[in-house]
Amino acid sequence: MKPLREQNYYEIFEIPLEATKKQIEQAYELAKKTFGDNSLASYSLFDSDERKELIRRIHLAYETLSDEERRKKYDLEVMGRSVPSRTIPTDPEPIKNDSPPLAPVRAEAKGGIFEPFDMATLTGEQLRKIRERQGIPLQEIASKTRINITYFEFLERNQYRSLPPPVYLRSYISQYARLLGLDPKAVSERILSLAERLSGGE
Amino acid sequence: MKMDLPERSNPVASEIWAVGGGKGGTGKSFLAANLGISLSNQGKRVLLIDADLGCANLHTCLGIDYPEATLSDLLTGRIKRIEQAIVPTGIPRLGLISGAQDILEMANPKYAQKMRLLRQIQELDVEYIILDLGAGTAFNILDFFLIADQGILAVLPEPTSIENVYRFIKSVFYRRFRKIAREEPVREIIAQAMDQKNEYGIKTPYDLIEQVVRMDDAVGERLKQEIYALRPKLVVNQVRSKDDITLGFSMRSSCTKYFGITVEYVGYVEYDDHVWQASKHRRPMMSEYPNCSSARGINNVATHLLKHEQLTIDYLVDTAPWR
Repeated sequence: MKPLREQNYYEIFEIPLEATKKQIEQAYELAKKTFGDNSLASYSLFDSDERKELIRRIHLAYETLSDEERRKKYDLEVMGRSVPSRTIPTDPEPIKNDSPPLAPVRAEAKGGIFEPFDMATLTGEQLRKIRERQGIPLQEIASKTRINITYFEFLERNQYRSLPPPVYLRSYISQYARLLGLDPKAVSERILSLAERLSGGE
Repeated sequence: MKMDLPERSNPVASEIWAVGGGKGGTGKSFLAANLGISLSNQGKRVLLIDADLGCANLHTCLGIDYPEATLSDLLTGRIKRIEQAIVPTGIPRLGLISGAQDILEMANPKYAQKMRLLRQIQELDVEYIILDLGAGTAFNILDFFLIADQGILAVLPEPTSIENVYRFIKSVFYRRFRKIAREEPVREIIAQAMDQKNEYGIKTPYDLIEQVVRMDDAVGERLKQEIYALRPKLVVNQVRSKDDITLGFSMRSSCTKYFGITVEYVGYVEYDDHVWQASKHRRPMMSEYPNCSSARGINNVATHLLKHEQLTIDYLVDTAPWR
């Protein structure tokens, strides 16, 4: 572990030399959040001048690493990489030589966050999985929509019978879907059809 | 005072997890109890030990009455063997040793007593032992945390809790350092370093190591190895927003930058009314509402600990392609 002033750009972002563009973007976003003015995580460890200096170095690191030409030059001159013509891996490729602390891959994420789903067979439980993979707590959806969390819990447990009447449900599901980045109309229609089938059935 | 903890000699010895984190009310007992149930649900033989000496209430988290035999009986010698203090929890494969209540002197067992206890714990025929530590950074708590194979820190997304977790981490490292450094001048430096306004300008374990290296290369090297070996696990409890989840990543990164240490973010538990409802009924959440969101969070944490994995940031920032 080196002191901050001696850390290279990769160490600042805690990413491997093989990091993809997307990993750099992610690390940059996280670093800005972590050492920004309102960060709960860092205010008690670093004073405001130290955080300003950190943010300055984070921006510098990003300017270089996000620019392919500048990154190649940096790799060659500072990191001492002997192969100047290496190509920066594109994103769909798996990262091979990840270094700690980012090394282990989350068990479930391997299952594929991009796993496609079929709107025609979509269930409430599938919606829960999509939500959890995006790291959005149900409580956040309830606070943002001001809709009782219990309804969303019923939805995610496939307990369609317990959901409110269609006139409310359509709006509730649309808002929920929008927060997950899903098509509000398609999702609400699918869930309404599930709810109707059940209430009409017995 | 001699500071050796017993060595883990038995190769098939059970794995010890310890749940700490400094502040009270961050969910240490909640985590310990429910991680225990999660493991037992996965077929593991588990023993929960309430090491919160003086303020034991892990039995209440499990919905059982204060048992006849407890850790204090063991420490006073009223019972001889640790097995005699294990009570069933009503959950298959999950046993409990309750902590001492009310007996004030028991909150600070003598060093020899503690070591005898730790030796006995390690020889028990279970796969996992989960220690529920008390609040604060007393030596007892730090020693239990240090002997664990996996030291777990429970944090709430609140300033006071975060500050205390950092303080806890710092105390753990200095405690460990003092144990490995036998040389008197080095020990003196370490003692000084605990004081934030020390004359050497030592703020972090990193500064301390730099100082020690200047005094004694070999000792400095040993401390460096220690800093790599200790990897506290972080669990953010009661998350209500994506920002709360991000906090775990930010704390991990802050620890790397400030302390020079590796903290592993093993998961979070969503804020969930089911926890409160279960607690009102004196029932463990995992048994009462096994499918609620916080139960899923606990299961994720258990899985990550079992597989030695952690969360990665791509999980956090990834957006779905259909956006």
